[in-house]
Amino acid sequence: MAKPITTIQKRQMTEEEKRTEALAKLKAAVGDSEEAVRELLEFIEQLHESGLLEAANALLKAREDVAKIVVGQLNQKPVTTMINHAFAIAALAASLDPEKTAKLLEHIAAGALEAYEQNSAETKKIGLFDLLKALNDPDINRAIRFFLSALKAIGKRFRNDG
Amino acid sequence: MGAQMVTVTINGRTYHAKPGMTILEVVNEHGLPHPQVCYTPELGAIQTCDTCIAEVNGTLLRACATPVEDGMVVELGSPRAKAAQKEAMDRLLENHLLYCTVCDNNNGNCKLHNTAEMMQIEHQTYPYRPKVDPSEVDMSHPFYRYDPNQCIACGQCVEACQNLQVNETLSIDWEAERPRVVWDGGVPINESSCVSCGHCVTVCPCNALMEKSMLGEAGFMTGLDKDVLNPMIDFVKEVEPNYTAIFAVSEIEAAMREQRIKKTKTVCTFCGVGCSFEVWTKGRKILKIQPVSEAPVNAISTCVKGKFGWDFVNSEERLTKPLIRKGDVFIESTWDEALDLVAEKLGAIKRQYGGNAIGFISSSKISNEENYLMQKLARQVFETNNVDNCSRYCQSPATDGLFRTVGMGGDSGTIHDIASAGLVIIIGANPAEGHPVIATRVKRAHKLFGQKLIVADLRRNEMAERADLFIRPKQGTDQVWLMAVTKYIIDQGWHDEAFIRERVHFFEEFKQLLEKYTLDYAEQVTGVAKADLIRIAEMIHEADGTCVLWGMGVTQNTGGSDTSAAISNLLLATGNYGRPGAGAFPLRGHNNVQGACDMGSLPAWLPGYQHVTDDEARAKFEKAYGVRIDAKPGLDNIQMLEAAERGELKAMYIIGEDMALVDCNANHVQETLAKLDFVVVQDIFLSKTAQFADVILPAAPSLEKEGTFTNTERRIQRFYQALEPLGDSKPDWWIIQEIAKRLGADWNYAGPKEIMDEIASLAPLYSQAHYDRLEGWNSLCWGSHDGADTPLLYKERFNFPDGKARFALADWVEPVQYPKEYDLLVNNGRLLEHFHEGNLTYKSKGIEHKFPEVFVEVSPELAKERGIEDGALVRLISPYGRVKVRVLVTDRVRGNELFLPMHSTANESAINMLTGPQTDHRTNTPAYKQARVRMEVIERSGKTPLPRTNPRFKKRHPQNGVEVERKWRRSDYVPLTEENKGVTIGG
Repeated sequence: MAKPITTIQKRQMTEEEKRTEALAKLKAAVGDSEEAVRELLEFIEQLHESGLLEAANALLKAREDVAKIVVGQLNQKPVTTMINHAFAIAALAASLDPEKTAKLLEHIAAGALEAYEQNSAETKKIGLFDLLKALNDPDINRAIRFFLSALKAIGKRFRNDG
Repeated sequence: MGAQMVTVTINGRTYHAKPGMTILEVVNEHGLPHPQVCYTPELGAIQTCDTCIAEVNGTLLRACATPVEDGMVVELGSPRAKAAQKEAMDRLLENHLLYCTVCDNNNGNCKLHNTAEMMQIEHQTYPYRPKVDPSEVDMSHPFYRYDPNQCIACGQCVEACQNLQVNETLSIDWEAERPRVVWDGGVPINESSCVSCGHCVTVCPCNALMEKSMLGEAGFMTGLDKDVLNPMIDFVKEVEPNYTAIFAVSEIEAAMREQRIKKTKTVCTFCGVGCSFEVWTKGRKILKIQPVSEAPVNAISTCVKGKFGWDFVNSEERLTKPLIRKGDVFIESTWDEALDLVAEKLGAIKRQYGGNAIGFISSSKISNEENYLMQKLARQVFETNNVDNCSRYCQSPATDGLFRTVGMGGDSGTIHDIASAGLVIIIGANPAEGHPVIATRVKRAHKLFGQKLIVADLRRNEMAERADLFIRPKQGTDQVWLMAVTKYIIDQGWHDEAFIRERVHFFEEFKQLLEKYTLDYAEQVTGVAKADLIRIAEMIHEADGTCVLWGMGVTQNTGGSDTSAAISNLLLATGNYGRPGAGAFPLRGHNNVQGACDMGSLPAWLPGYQHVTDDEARAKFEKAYGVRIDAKPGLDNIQMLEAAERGELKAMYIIGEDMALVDCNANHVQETLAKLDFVVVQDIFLSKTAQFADVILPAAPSLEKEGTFTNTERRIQRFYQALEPLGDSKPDWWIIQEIAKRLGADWNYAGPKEIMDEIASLAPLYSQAHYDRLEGWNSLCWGSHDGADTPLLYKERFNFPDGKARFALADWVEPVQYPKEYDLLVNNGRLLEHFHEGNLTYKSKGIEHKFPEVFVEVSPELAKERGIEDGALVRLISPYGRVKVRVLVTDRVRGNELFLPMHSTANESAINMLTGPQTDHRTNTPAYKQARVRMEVIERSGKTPLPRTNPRFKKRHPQNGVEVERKWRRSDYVPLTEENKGVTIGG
């Protein structure tokens, strides 16, 4: 009596039916989270007004091209070198004692400021004798000792690098 | 207990450990972080990576391979240990590029990544060097790829292939300049003996071996075009920041992936082993199957179907709307229309003819909860016991044999007993293909731990090839050799007298019954040499524990039940019950054969094996269901069809069972189905059976719902919902409930959990199987009447009122005789790649690529005699029907024996067009294995039906695991350990 059937007649939903069904689902979802949807709309409005939405859209549409450009740019030797520098400097900074560094920078900055002020007041040319006399100034002497020690320390490291 | 423990000091703290444990095991047990790239517990210490080196009493040793000793002092992080670990890791990283953020394996579980991070590796000492040209990445296999340039040559894949799966395909070419993994000594993966089990991919600690389904899918940036991705990898290489920075970025990306990739625990539905694993999904896409060590049955093991066979879930051919027969077509309908129609028609038939005019066929593929509801629908709403499931086609004889002898219808132990047995006997089963993960445990124990293996089969399958003793008894005569061996054992005085005296009835009667079964008689009936029978008896006698595994080769015979009982008798006589490493293991074929029976989807049994004739049990259910329950068993599958033919059965409601193809004498079944007044079929595909339906209800497969399955070990395991039901399809439990409600039943189950609570309240065996107890990877083996977890049955008592077992007293039943013209025996069964008729597995492109169509195996002798070759087209004709198939000539079969796998969804090639109506005389299970045919040659040669890329054509390459000694012998290998300190270290 019942013959085997292999044909399925799909119920073809009209476009109108499909739309109604989709809308019904959407309406239910919106109803479930009304607050959030309201906030989202406001947020979108802001994005739109500021022009950010437009920019983001454009960026998204061009994402493959943009990615290629970005990666291409990144891969240029100067860029990778710069990034490697950044990593190196970051690593150096990470290894220093911030308290000492702060003190040092503070001294240099204060000294520079004072020097700038004095410099603008004095106009007389410094001669060799002035320079030797200046060595006797305890403040100048201290600063020179600092730079000499620094030169020695750096030089030692160069020797180790061999 | 305490006295046996050893005390060790690790990093200055004292720990107690069991003797025999390795340092690494103790370290892991206490959660101490320690590198161990090449260590996977299931594989043991393979010692290839050197990253776990620790300082042990001052000497550098591998923690994975060093057993703890009392008083041992271990430093995991001493400067020397750390230096050795770092050097070991540097050696690995020379082979691997850490482009984690754009790598599909960066999912938080990449062992290499996590180890490098834990060790705070900042830079690699030896710069990365690719091993081969990028074009040599092996993409040939349909399911996975191998990238030698990312491979760290740790060899876990090799160890898994050689010693866990024991397929023996992979090896490492240790003598090569740059060692890498090779397949069958160096062929493309797809051309190798690989059986696609997935072990290698699962254990790979990085992205060298990956599921193809993950590639370009898992990461946010991994799907980018090559012309963006490759420069990106170059960029990372060029910048070469310290790895901490790379790891930080990749961690963030991995965390983002977590949000998008859903990981759901599920239980496999392709056989009765009950493997569980995570399924990773992204939307509806199945990214991969991820096995985990916590899985109680399989741990990290899988087979091709479980690991890669899930495409059917998203198949275009899925039924997604209810269908109603109108004229010559099925019309899509709404659920209300379809359910109203089903309720109206079935209700009317019940009113007019009574509930017994309807038959209910439940499924061994759906959940316990759904099976329970199906029998409840039959018994409560339709007041009939006419409910059965497909175990009628396979396992009822085994259950019957066990009920009669030991009292419970299930495996007496677990996979762990099989793995630890001294001797495994496999009769009429091919676990290497039908129950692959159980087979791995036997193969591993046999290869590594001296387990003995006997195989009795017509066909020389893989297990037979590996066996210590392989016998080929004539079809249908297994009971004779089993009884002869039992008799011989008793005659020799090798039986377990004390066990029998204390625990078994009817020994004297049994001995009398055995009188006739002499070795001579057995040799004459079965064709097995006397010497082999004696050898079997000796091996059982010598073994420390014997497990017998059997399958359809035993049960699908006219004497299937009695043969099953004879197996149980043999185990009883030798005391092989109630102890670890021994027992009876009927291998359940489908994921929930056991559960379907447990749930009372059987004409004579209420849920939890409470017989319908048991007044007390019936009263309990009558009270719960509010109806009278007939004390007379209902109709089984076979009887339903007979009743339909007589016009007594008017309607059927069939879930998930393609009985039009899988029942014997399929022609006849299809005629009968066509005669019924009303047929409802619930399935996920338009199966052959569904084509006869009046209403088809679209169901949801396991990944789209939750529930529990019970595997062959009686282990109850939960599976969770990974995906939403496709289209309008619905979980089976929902559909059954809707029908019941329309017929006035007061059912209001919110979900499977509530159904299980009801089961627990009515079936004592399941009384502790509540969902919270089964959370996550937890499981429970039923077996006690208080519902307690009972992995090993019969430790104290057998399941009879007096606690004693019974020898079953039955002579063997001769197989069906055929007229002489049917000169060929057509054996049938399953092969590895496909499940059942193949409705699910042919939907996988990869599986179809490896095994596109069914074929008949013909022996070389017969092929020669009939003048046919591989690819010949033949017609096989039995008294009941005919099929047309292509030939595969192979010496797996011999003489006049053919083998026709059941994997066909078309009448033209379905084995059951040939099988006859004879059944097991106790359970009505069809005697599928006793089919005979004659053969007509249509074409003498043709295209071979099995592609040459199928592993059956390839030769395995066995070796002793990963063979790390060959690595150590390399001239460029500088040891990091100091095992030989004081001997070789001179200065």
